[in-house]
Amino acid sequence: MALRNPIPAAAFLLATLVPPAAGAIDASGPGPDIQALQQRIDQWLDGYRHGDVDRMMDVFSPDFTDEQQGTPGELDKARVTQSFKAVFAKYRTDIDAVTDELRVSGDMAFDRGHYTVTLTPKAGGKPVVQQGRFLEVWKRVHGAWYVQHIVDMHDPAPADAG
Amino acid sequence: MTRLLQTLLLAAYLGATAAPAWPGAVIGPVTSGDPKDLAALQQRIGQWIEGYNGADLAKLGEVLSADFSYEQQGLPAQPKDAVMKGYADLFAKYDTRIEVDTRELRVSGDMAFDRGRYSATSTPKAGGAPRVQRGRFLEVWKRVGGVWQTQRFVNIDDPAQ
Repeated sequence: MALRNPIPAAAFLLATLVPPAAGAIDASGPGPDIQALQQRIDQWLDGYRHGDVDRMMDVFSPDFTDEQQGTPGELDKARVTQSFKAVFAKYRTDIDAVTDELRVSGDMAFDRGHYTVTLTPKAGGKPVVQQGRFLEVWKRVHGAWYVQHIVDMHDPAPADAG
Repeated sequence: MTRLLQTLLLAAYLGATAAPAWPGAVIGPVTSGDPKDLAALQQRIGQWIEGYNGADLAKLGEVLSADFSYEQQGLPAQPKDAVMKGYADLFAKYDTRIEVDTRELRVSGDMAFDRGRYSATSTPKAGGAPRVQRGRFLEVWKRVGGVWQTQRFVNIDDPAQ
């Protein structure tokens, strides 16, 4: 993968969605939809923390794209899946994230926020910490919410990363 | 180039979207939603591009919502007033031109998004070689009082040329 970071950048994408603290999120839209989206966010985070790629990727639509600085173009779902598997093979992963804004209209939603990801090498060594922000768009298909597009704005990885 | 000027230039590319009314704009094949809404959005996109290419701050700024924010990697989120200040400085120093390829435009209720690529050329009014900046974007729109406004914009700029 032709990325600037030594750690697959997709590891950080969607390092996003966190069940926000009560009252901390700027949200609009029907309450049940907000709740359903937060459940999907929880699903993704739970998958990330447990290295469960299938659980994570179920949250992404088939036409999902990830875009970020330093990549020549968008990454599709297959590419992102591959990247997550590579990360989970080498690291224990944790994420601390805040969803700052979540809005719903009909079958479309978006959220934005910020995150801190910690990757601890399974082979030993210092944890790698990376922070960033994101904007992502969701769509509802047959009653289920899916992330369709995300733009990840992550800070440069530390020099000793990877 | 100073970081401030770079910031101003980058801010100038926000809303770099498509407009059928503008010869350089291309609307991609991927759309969904009410055709009337899509047409209304395209008109607003056209307004932004006309404003940009005409250095018309009022016309351009009217497309942005009051709570508009611009984001890109390496910079803090910029509110509307900071972005408009960036435009004013840009237009004072450069002749500007932008070409946009909007590859996806979707609408649902009072929300919409579009994404695509752009190429912006800034030619110094004092003389000098034009600067070309290319990149990608994702932006979210909202309809307020029947009018579409850009609410969130994220820019991914290619390395400067």
